[in-house]
Amino acid sequence: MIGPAPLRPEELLARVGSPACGAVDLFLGVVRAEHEGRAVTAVTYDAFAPLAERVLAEVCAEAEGRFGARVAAAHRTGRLEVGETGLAVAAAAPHRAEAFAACRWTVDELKARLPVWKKEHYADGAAAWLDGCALSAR
Amino acid sequence: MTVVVELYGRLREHGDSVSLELPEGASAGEALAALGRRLGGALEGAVLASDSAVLAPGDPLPSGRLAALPPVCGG
Repeated sequence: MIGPAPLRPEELLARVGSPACGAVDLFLGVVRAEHEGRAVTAVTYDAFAPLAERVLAEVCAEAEGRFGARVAAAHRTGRLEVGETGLAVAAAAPHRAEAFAACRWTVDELKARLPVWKKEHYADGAAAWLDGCALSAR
Repeated sequence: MTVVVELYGRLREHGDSVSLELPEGASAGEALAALGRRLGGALEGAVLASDSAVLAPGDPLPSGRLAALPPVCGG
């Protein structure tokens, strides 16, 4: 679920859907046209794919155990223009509180743990890798 | 022994990988220190990882892929 193909949120929704779940929450992280006052035209996501696939699965499994939800996620790599989706997380649970909580927790954990990096491309032609969260052995 | 370390994120400004000459049986911590001597301050906050886990300083180096991962910022 890490790769250059455009994300398909409907596939994530189909994976988490279940007759036992009355609530489904979908988060999309979308490339924004502005960052700290600078006009952004695109971003490039880099990933260490084998570890990223593993961490993505681990975080989703942890969220499922923690919240009693069904969780699926995907992250795109390569160059994305403004408005394109870089991260998608779907969470389903019997009721909305667990679905919202599982989705939010998963997004936060992925941002802190997924070996993915964002380079922003600016309207003036410059580009910069963003700062992030240091990883540690678990 | 020669060890190839793949570079990711902002470390790619130094290339896609670097080769290090390390003593036989060198740990992840020793490899990271050697990489730091090559890349300097760019390595701040970075860790080494195999294709399945982030490595602690005392861990042995993996037989497969080895990557240097700066602080992450996906999403």
